[in-house]
Amino acid sequence: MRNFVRQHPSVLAGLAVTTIGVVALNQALSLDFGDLTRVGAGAFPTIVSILVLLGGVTIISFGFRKGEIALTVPPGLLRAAAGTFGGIIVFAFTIERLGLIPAVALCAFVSSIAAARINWRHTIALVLLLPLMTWLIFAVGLGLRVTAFG
Amino acid sequence: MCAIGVMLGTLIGVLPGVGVLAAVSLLLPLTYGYPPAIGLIMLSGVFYGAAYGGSTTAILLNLPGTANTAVTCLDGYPMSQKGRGGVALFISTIASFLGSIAGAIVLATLSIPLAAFARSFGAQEYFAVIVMAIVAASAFANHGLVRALTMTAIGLLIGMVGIDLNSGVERYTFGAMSLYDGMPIVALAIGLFGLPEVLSNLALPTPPKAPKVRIRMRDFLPSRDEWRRSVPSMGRGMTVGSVMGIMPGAGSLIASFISYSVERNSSKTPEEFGEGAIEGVAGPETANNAAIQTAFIPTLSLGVPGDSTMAIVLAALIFHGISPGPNFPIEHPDIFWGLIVSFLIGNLMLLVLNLPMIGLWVRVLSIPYTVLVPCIVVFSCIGVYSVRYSTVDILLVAGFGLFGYLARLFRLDAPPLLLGFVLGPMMEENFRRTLLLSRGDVSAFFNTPLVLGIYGATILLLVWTGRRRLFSFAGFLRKRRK
Repeated sequence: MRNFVRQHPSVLAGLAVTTIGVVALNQALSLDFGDLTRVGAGAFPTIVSILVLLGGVTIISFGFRKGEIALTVPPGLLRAAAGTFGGIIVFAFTIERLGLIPAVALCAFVSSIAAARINWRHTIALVLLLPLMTWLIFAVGLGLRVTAFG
Repeated sequence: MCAIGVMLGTLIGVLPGVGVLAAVSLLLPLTYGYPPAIGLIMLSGVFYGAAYGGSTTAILLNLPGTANTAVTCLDGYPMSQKGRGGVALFISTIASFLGSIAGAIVLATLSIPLAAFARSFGAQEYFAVIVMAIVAASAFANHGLVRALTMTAIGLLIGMVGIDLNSGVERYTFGAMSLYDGMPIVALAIGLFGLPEVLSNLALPTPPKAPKVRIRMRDFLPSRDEWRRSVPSMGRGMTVGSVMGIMPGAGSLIASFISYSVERNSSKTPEEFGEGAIEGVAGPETANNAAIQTAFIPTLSLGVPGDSTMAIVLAALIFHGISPGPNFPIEHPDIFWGLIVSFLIGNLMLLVLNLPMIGLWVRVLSIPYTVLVPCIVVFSCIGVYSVRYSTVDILLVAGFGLFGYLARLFRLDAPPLLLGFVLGPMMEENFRRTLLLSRGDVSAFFNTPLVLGIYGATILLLVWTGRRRLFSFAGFLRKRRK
């Protein structure tokens, strides 16, 4: 199965797109379609969802064409993604609870593990300097309404 | 402010792998805190700075930030290897400047007549122009028409998120109150373009590292022969760029490719191309920048952006309270001309600031990824948060980032999605209005000569790009990447 996906990435991509189309169509059908003289809120979403669905099915069919380029997943992807997205999520959950300085420090720490090799000197410097820098630029310089702590 | 914009733009633009779209998306929130005029001047600085930063890395390191500067690599990098990198940078700066000025003059001359003409447009004409923009942008996409059109359609769906203005019904909000106003474009743009760039570079076993390059001031000065060869190329580049920029979807990428082939065909020594021919830098760089300027013509006078970069610019203009369209140059001449002047100032700043600071930009390139990534992540988060003070928007960045990266991995183009997102509401409104005004007559979509002309032009464009695929510059780009 895994091998199939790797050899035919368009199949998975097409399936994902088709799913988006189905979900969107399902929602669109619950809205008022109206008629040609008074187009309702659901008409345009319905048409576009059907287009997405058709596009998805066509992309699936591309997966079975000759010359489909196999998928190459870079080796460090999981770590890179964990660090980058982890950093963003940590920031989102701490900015209003803890304030800008702790949020930036935590975000910088988590996202610094995204690199293949962690350089602790860089990480420590970032955790100390970035919060101060961003406070000066955004809160003091640009007048962003955030608290430094809490 | 413009100087700050130019510097920030170049700073982000020189970072390997970060293109104009990513740079503008990352820095867009910074301009929100200022009054429209200043914000726009800053943004145009960012825009040109980022475009210029891409050429610097293309010439010195053979790393095209975006496909736009891939052409500059062809002869710019060989020039660097021969010790003429300084000259290539100098000529590319002059070429960019002259191209932009030529483009700005065309922009100033053509926008007002086009806007006057567009005032006769009805809903069906607008609908046709939007269809043309979407099809054109998809036709020039990297991974084929079907994938690009599908992504545009997904963009249209995302554009529908929020309260429908005609009926007051909520659509695709999944009950989230923070989505009633629609999907925030900054979160979408940073997620789709900023993060995937970072992730792609980060996930490589050895992230790109800059070699040591040293350039002294006297290395910049071209010889008399280099001047003699560059000037006519710049002239041709201006023409090619100005024409190509106006065409929806084509933009600066196609302009630079066409200019390169024009230069090679008109050269007495075509064998020098690819080995460090100065014409191969001067022509495409002029064309590229002239096209960036003239791409503003449909954006400003019709309110319909021709590609995803213009879509972001349009969103920024709307955020600053400016709604481009046929009435824009007449109703707000101060802002219209102010904008054009800000383009000129932006380019002038670039000319004045960048050459002396080239050493700094080269040093920026050597910032290790262990430092760069946390900075980009932190700035993205604060940038998005600063727009609406919403933590949901920050989470949306993560969501779109994941989507954007997977889309890239599975060869689905993200730029058409953004274009669909921006054009979606406009498209739906004109779709509804056409039917309303014609009392439900579907033939209204095709019943004026102008509309038929626009659809005809769209079909011609499709045929032309289909033929272009025979020459397949996608294959050419792939070869270069290897």
